[in-house]
Amino acid sequence: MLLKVWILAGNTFKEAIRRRFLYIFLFAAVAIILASHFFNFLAPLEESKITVDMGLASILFFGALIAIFSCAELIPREIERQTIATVLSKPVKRFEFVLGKFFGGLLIIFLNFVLMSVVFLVLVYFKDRAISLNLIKALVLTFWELAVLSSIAICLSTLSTTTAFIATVTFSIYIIGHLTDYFIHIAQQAGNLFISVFVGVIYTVLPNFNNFNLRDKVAEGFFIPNFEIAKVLLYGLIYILVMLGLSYLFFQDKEF
Amino acid sequence: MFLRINPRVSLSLSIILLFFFLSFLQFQILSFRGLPGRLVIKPGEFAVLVALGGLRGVAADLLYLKADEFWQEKKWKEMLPLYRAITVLQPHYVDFWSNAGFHLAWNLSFASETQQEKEKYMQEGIGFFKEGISYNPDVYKLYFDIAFTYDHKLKNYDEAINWYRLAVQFPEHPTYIERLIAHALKKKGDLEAARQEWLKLQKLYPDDPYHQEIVGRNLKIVEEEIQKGGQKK
Amino acid sequence: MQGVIVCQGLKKSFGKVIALEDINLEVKSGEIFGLLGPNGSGKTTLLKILLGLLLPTQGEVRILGEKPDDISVKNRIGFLPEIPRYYPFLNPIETLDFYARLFNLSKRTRRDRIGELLNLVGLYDYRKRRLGVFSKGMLQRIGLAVSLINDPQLLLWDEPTLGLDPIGAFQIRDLLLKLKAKGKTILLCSHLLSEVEYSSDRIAILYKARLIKEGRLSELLNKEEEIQINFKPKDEQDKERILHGLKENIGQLNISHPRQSLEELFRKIIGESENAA
Repeated sequence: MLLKVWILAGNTFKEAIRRRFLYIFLFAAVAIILASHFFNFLAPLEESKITVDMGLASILFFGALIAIFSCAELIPREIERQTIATVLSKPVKRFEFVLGKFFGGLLIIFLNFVLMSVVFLVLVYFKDRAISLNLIKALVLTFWELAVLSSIAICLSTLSTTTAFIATVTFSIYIIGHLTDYFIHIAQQAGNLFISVFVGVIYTVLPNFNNFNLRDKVAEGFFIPNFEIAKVLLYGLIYILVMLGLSYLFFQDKEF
Repeated sequence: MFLRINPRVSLSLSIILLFFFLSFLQFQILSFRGLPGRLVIKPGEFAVLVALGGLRGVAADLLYLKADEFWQEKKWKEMLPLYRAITVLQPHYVDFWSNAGFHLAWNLSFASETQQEKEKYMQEGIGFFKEGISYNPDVYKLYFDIAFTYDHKLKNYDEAINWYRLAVQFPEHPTYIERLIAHALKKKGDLEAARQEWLKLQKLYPDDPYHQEIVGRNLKIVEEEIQKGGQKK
Repeated sequence: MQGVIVCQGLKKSFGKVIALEDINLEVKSGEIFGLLGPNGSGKTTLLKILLGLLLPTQGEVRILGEKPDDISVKNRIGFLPEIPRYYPFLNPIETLDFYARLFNLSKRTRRDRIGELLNLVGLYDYRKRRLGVFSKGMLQRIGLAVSLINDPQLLLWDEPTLGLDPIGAFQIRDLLLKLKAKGKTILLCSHLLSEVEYSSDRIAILYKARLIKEGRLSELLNKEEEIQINFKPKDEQDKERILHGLKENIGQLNISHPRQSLEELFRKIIGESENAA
């Protein structure tokens, strides 16, 4: 099974590399990371703070765009051009196909992520003459957030075949996922049992991307125990497994 | 006899169980990081969108640039709400609290016309520092900021000394803070206490010639004043 | 039924639209089975059900003794879709290698077979060109190669000569017979009746979701209602005597039925069905 997943993932990755459109996001991210160097002269903040904030933000934002736009179209594209029929007529299980697409998408995200991170870390090193372990932890959390986002896009693509719809919904979940903590304020203010239960369900089902905002604290130099970071990574891993599990259920009886 | 469960049913049950586990894990994570404060940015601010995207640090920076602009233009009142938002977005960045409190206690109080308003802003500034301490209890800076404000703005040397002493608990505090305690004691009029403080300071940082020189000089000044009979009871 | 492909009471509907109704079909091992029908009759739907891409609404389907979604079965099937769709960013070598790896073929086997197949379909000289620039006919050839990469026991070919020039079409016909000689079973869907007539052992005709005719080609093409007797009389008297004494002289007579073309049969059957409807 793993071999076939790897073959499919490799093929997916190869296509993305040869298509090149994702390079636009990569270049934009690198441009902003480099430009952040010049903001420091405008305000009396610690010099590297803006570089770190904007660097991490660019990697997250453009990484999210890459994750959404690359993963949202992986399966619908195969269905649209009917290459899926030729693949599934071979000894490939449907779930192997989905996993292959997910890991292929993840490889694409990882490559772009590494390139952006290298530029970012070089710039930080240029300013501070050191790279803190905290910053590496922040980057790991960022990548994990992107992995969760890509699993959501893949899951949605097993339900719908319209790329624009999938991308829009995934992006909306990305935004809402950063707001879920504020739902608790709403529930507290409402004081109504039904609303509290409803909010509780939404809070659990939707991904809580605020968990990955530990990245902000790490970048500020706030010490986060590795155990707490491990909990967040575990949260992300379980959410990915849930998304892949749902993908299996949705895709198993899909007709082409 | 054994029960064969349909794989789809067992997968669906597993997913439900995983959601419960996610809920438990979320509670654990939340107990460490806490809930974010309520967003108080005005709608229409670009920073809102940035913050919503999880880019709180950048949102705070953007608002800070705007707040800085208002400060340059002496638009103190427009600046305040921005600082409120900035500290909600990044409560663990101490400099934001420090700058905000400073603007309130020093710049706004200076620009105020009535004494009542001046004192109000000074107290608000101190309140801001204290709120910052609640998020960052292990950093010396805000304790120092409160002490400095009591010392130089409010001339309340007792409070200043208390807060200076809290600031020096933290290992990374600058050495001059200890010397400020001694200065405050002198300004308070307690010359003997000031002398004792300078003597104590002589034993601190023996390898710092600059510190030793200042301590020596000030000790001499205090001792001369005591000899001249300038000690108040 | 023990055939390579067995359909019993197969029905497929998409909501209210019935794509296949009460299909009972058997494809025997080692034969070329032609599946005919006008557009929309259900041929492609049937193929997709055999490949597990669609699920039957009712009835049972077995392919090589197993259900269509059985992965082990797919190791022994080669599929050529009506319009071959492959990854445009890959070249022929990469395409064949990709599919060959999905069959867990060893590196050596892949290398040998890829070279052999590219030569067979006449694309060796284009082996490093991306499929995105290939013509329809070239893609069809790649499709043929892909369907043979695993040396399958059963081939499902949908319009194999579509887009090919006449020489290419002849080559495919010859290839079909060679594959049959090797013991392979082929289910052939085609609009080209001459092609099916040339190569098939048995055929089935689908019309409006129903299987309206099935059987050996030679039997179906015979006009059973007529008898054709060929003899050469010595003279006129001989002719009269023979005609008079026809029944006593069966041993010396060459009795056969006149043969119609597949096209004639097809038109007749479709016409009858349209009138009945």
